[in-house]
Parts: sequence; C-alpha cells; structure tokens
Amino acid sequence: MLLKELKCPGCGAPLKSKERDMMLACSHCGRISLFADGTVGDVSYSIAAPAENRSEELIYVPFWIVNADLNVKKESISGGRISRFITDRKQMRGTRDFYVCAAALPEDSCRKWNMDLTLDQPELTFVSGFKGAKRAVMTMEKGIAGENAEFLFLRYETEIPGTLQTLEYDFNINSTKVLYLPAYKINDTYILGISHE
Amino acid sequence: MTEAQKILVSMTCPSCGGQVQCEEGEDLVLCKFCESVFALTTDEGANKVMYKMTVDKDKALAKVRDWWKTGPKAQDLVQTAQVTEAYPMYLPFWRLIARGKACVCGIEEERRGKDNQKVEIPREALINREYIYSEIACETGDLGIQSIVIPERAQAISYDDQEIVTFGVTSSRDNAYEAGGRAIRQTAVEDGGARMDKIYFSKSFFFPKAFTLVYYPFWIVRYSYEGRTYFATVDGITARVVSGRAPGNAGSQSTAAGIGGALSGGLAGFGIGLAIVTEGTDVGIGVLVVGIVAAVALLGYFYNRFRYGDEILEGAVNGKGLKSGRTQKKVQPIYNETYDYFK
Repeated sequence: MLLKELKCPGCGAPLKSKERDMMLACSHCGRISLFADGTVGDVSYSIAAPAENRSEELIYVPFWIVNADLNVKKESISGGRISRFITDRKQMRGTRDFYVCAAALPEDSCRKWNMDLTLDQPELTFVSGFKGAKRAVMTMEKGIAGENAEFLFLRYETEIPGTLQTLEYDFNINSTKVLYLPAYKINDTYILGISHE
Repeated sequence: MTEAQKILVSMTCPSCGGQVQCEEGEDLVLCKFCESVFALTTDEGANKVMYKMTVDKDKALAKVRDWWKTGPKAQDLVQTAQVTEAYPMYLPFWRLIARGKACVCGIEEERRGKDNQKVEIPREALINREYIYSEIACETGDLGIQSIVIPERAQAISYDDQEIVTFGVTSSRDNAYEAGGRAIRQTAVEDGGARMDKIYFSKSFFFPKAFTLVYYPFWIVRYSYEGRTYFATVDGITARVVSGRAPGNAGSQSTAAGIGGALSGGLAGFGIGLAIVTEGTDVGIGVLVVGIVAAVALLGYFYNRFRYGDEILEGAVNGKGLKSGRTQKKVQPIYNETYDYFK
C-alpha cells in the first residue's frame, strides 16, 4: 500500500485539509477540486444563495444534482387510490433534477431533503462564492449518485398510499453536478436556508 | 460500523513522518499533523489488512480435543488420536462492505375463514441496509472454509507478507467484487421479499463502502487415528473449530443400521400381513403399498446414516460423511443505520 500526495490541478501546490472531504480546496489558489478514483480533478459546482439572513451559523451542504429523464411505462398499485386523489400527491415523472445529499449529515435530514426537493423543485438564485462560510464535508462519490437518485424514485413509489405491485420504467441520466445549498445548524438539526414550501 | 469493520492501520506520512491512520474503505487519507492529503493506492486494487492471531498453540489443541469429544465421533478419539502437526496459517478473504438497497413488490398468500380460502395480500418493501460479503480468495485444497465473520475484538494490523505463512491469492479481484455485489443485491431482494409468496417487481443496488483483502489467522491441526489422517482448523481469534474431518462412531453406525433394518422390516411385514387378512381388498393393498414405501424410505435413511457415517465433516468440507456444524454464510447484514420499510 502506498500513499500518493495529492496536488492542486490548478496551481500544483500540495493540497492540505483538516477533513476528509471529496471537495478539496487548495489553500494556495483557492480552487476546489473533486477527489475521485484516487486522484483529484476539475469540478464545476454552483452555490445557492441563502434566502434570508439568520443569526445561526451558515453552512453550505453539498448535493449531487442528478438530472434524469424518468419514463414510467407501466405501473400498478393496489389500493390507496382515493387517498392519493384527496392528498393530490405530486407525481415523480418526466425530466427533473434529483437531489441527493452528498454530505455526512444525519440520515433523517438527508432523506427528507432529497424527497422534498426532488418533488418540489426549488427556485434558486446563485452566488459566486462561500464568503467565508463553512462547507459541510462531501462523502458521497459521484459514481453512486445516479443509482441513489433512482432509488429515491422507487422509495417515492412505495411510500405513496397503496401498495406497489408492478413497475416498468426507464431512468436515463443526463448530467450529475454539485450544488451547495445553504443550511443553518440549530441545536442538532439542520434547516435549509432556501425559500422552499 | 463496529470496530472490527472499521479497520485502522497506521502508516507513515511521506511529508512529515507522522503516524497516519487509514480506515477501511477510505482511499482519501489525511495527516493530522501536517494536514497533507493522500490517495491510498494498492497494487491489487484492494487494501490489505491482517488480523492479529490471539489464540496460542496450546489453546488451539485444547479446543480440538474438546471438539473430538462432541458429536458421534469415534469414542476413543481423545485417547487414541495423535496430533501430527499444528501450525498457524493466514488465509486471504475478499471482503466487500456495501449498502444494499432494494425495492421488492409482490403478494403474500394467506388462507382465511372456514373454507380456508386463499387470499392474496399485496406487499411492498424497501431495503436499505449495510451488508458484509466475504469469500475465500485462495485454493485451500479442502479446508472447508468459505467465508468469515470478523469478531468485535479482532485487532487489525498492517499487512506484512514477510512475517506470515499464507496461501497465495488465486481468485481475481474483479470477479470477487462482482460476485460480492451480486450476492449483496440478491440478499437485499430476499430480505425484502421474505414475507412474499410471489414477487412481481424487484430492483436492487449496491453502494460499495470498502473492498479489502483480509488475512485472517487460523490454526491448522492434523492428526492421525487408526492409520488415517484427519484435520481440524481453529479460528485464530475466537478459538472455535470452524472445519475439520473426524472418524465417526462405529457403534452408533451399527445401531443405526440395526434399528433401520428392524423398523423397516416390521413395517413391510405389517403391510403384507394386513393385505393377507383383508384378502387383498383395496384397503389392504393400499396399506401394503404405503407400508412398503415407508419401509424403503426408512431403510434408505438409516443406510445413509450408516454408509456416510464413517466420517464426520465439520464446516464446509466436501465429501461423503455426516455433516456437522454450520457453513458460514457469505453475506451478513449489519444492523446499524437500517432504513427498511415493509407494507
């Protein structure tokens, strides 16, 4: 086993980090690169602006945004029809961004965010930098984001009222990108700082 | 993850010389002294880790002697058997830790009411668990070891091939990885469909966390009994006998043959007798046929006990003999951060 020192792909300076983050910022030139398959490479990412100013500490949470075409060809659900009609549940169909939280935050928060944001796509404004705010450590590799997005769809189909019986669908990924969403840490829970619902 | 799964191995930081801790499955490594960032690379495409042997030779031999006393083994085994050799051996295993996710839909069949009517209950399940897959990575001849479970107290140490006796890795990394992923996905589907009688839809994924070549310690004990050689392998950390061969108990075999013969003879005789008494009516013939079939089955069962009872096979040892113990399953769930859903 060997340890290979990682260097910034921009300026060539050795990378330094206190945390095991897949998104490594160069302390020399400030460029952020993505660690994948034993090396670091260029990555494009966007940062959503906080919707309001709050007194709590702001932290940016990384998500994999998987843009995919979801085409459900056949589906049968046993029961739950009336309840689905009354609650007017949204359908997860067509082309959309699937939100897959890539940070090592409490799973319950991540699961809820992923579902809520994917169903109700937020309207975001963007900023160019983190302005000194913290970034949550990214732990999820890009390679598994797509399948996590697909599983999110399956989770949705089983969690809606009724019992899923058969399902036939195509799930085609168009792109996978990094998006940082602002969040505030209040006690031990995280609250997203974007205007959503 | 338990401590055993969170393997920690120390390496030296190439930048500052400080101690760097590497965790299983983490190929991004940080030095906490100089904050340098490293990628952990390996020749085989998998990190190697070794577990420290904590069972000494005396304890291993004592465990084998205890094992001789259990089950239908030759009665004078403890007095007569001679240990010919006992040596430590590290066996390599491919180990994959991954989150298995599956969506499984189908029906459960239930019989209800007075007329026992079959009712189909629709079921759906989501599985989201962590699993460990392990598979032996070498040709062991027939040691009867296919898989391992690393005990909590196991202590991981850096792999050093100078120090240990081991079998060479013969199976390919890619094949093992693929087989592990397949097995984990399959297990996730099985876990989801555990209550279902028919599965209409299933889709599964595996998200790898760590893929490691694990060297696990064993004691291999060879012994002779009445001119034939046998063996036993002892887990080098838990001291459990995990596999082996032992001579069977001749007494219990002849008893089996005797009882089997007597019982089946009696049954057949009863059937024939009844057929004569009832003068060949349908009922009599029916009982005769049932009696003979039962007699043949019984005879077959006891014959098998007799014929294959000459050797006791512990663990996953192949061959003819009386199977004893259990074969370690290749996939184990980790009940930690489990997000299953059943309906």
